[in-house]
Amino acid sequence: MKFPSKNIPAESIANSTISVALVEDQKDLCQSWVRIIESFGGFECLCTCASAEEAMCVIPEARPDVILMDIRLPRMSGIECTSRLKELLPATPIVILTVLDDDELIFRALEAGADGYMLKRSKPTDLRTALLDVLEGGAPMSSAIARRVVRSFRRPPANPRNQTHLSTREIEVLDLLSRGLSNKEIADQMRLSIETVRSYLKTIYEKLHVHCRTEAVMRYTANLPASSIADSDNAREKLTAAGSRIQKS
Amino acid sequence: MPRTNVRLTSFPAVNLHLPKLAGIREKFLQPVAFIQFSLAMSFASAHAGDISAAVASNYPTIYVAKSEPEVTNGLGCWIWDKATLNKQTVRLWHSFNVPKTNPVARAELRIAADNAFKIWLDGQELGSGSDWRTLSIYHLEGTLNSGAHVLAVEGFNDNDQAGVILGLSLEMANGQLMQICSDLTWRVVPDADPNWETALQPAENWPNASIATNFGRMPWWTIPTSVLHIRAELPKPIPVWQSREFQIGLLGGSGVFVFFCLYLLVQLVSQSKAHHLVQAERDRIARDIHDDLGSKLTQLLLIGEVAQIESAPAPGAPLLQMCDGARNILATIDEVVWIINSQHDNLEDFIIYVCKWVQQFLGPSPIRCRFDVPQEIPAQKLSQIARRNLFLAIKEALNNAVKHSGATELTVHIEINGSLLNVVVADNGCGFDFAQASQERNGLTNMKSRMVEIGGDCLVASRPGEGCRVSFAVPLKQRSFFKSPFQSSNHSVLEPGFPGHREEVPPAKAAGESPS
Repeated sequence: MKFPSKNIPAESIANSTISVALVEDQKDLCQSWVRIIESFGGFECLCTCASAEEAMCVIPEARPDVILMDIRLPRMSGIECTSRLKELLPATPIVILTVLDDDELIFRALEAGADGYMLKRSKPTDLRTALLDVLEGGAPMSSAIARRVVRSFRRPPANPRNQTHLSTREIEVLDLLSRGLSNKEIADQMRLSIETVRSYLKTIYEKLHVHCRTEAVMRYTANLPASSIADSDNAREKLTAAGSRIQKS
Repeated sequence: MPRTNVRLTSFPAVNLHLPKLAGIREKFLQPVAFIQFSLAMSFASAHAGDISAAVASNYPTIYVAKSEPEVTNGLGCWIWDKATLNKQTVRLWHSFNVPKTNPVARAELRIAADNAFKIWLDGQELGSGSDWRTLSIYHLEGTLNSGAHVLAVEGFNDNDQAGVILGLSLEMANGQLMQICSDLTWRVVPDADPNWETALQPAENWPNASIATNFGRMPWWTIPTSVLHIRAELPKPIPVWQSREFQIGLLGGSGVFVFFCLYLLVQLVSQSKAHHLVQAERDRIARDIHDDLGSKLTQLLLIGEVAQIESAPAPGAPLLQMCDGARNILATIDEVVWIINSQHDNLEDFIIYVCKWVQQFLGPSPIRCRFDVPQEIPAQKLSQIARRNLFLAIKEALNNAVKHSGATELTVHIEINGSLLNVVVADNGCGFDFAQASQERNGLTNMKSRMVEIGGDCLVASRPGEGCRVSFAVPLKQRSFFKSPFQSSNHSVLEPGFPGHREEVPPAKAAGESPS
């Protein structure tokens, strides 16, 4: 059974499996991930895609609860794929995976619509926590990311029609984040609940997506490239396999 | 009539035509001259002049009725072309040399012509005359510099006889006299050469002048009827920088220079472009290598994690160690990639990175981290070596804090004071005293030497129970010509009482225990 992906209350997660879609081009890593995710209990790997083109074919139909996306993919980049999938499945959280901790790349992914990021080297327990957090509506933001968010808003928007501004409270949250305070500490200082702080962070990210979204992204989702047709045969096989797995569980 | 010496500016003489009477001129001259004088006085009333004569008037010329015998000194012969015709114009040319060692102090040029003359010295017109009975004396002021000079006379004959007589006396500085007279050595310039007045060498086809008659002989005077004294300026030598050759040379030279500069500029631009391309390519190669390494290492790590899962519930310690080791290597690769990426050679990226790293580093530890960082970071360059050294020094300080301080809170203050970057890492741990410091010497001296290498400095202040405060300072602008403001100091790393520390460490203890 599948659940609407956003804001799943913690209890319901315990009752059913969370389906994860994985987009990773390296086979060994892919297999290890599948193994790790399925060891979590309560998680299942719905499908794996070896390229962004394949992901564009498979994932919209498969409708996973959460998507794990490698940032480096052979043809279309992970960032571009993220923004396209966000257009098609706005309610599905996307978590970016990266080998090296590259702020610039990660931030661009966040601008494109990713809901969180993880280093591939993270411990499996950390991965699990992050997935649950993202499904609950959390928006992980480190101090470095917070600074970049503020800087990004200082620049003019990519599309002049998408002029958005951060509210004073949101700026305050970002400021406290950039000083190294945790979400709990921010909540204490601003006399809010942690949930409110989280929702502030969520709104900030959404505004960021709007701020950085360009018309080009809209255009992309309209026409998918012809090269994806070759992958679509692969994709159909995987879809049927995924479908059979769903039926089993 | 009393003789008067008149100073005048050069002025064309008043033209009075009188018929030439062969033979009996002299007898009529005196009264005629007197009439001339009175006529001249009435004609020339309007002209101003500087007259120092006893005859007080504003007339430009004063005709001397009886001329002094000295005025005819130094005159040559009456010269003309071979043939004499009516309405004839003859050009006479002569050049002379002023010796280098003897500058000319004074010069006087006497000239008379039947009927009229125009005279140039070095191409500059001195004056003209139109009365054969008048001897014009040009008192030349100025200097005649050494070298060749050219006298050019254009004579005009109305009718009958024709001739030009000239004498130039140059008085040298040492008193020597040099005389140039009109004689056979003069040349007649047949055609109207455009530059005949300034030509320093005669052309091949210029014949020598012919002597019409010697001075004093008929049909001309022994003593001129009147003498005209004219003060004239010698042609000023064209200063070198005004001469045409110099100007052309200068223009040509500057043109060449400009082209050379442009060439160098183009070279510089293309080289710097090449340098950037090489740098970018190097960055890209390094990045690819590290991505590849990181990827493969991550694969191994994940296999290790899978192995842990499969050997659950008790994964062996070696497996855990291996996975942690792989993580450490990946973290190091991260740092290397950050350091070598020249895009991060700026202050803002550095500060963001340091804050992020500190947060990640202190994440698993019980220490809470705080940042006191300016909101607006100026766009300043920070060189790769400065970034690296400062980062490694901060890492050292953080390591010490985590290992030894037992602190609960650590603050990183970053401040930019003009061209100085200040980073202070302060914790509220147990601090240390200088006795212990000697064991930590390597860590602390490392920090100091790293900072000194980039022209900065590092100061540690701590008191037992008072926490520890490590302060780094780095100059931002590259000052390769001048010494860094810190290099001259011979501070020990453990200098007590640096600015900002609240309490002074008792000097006795510091002096006794100072390790360096």
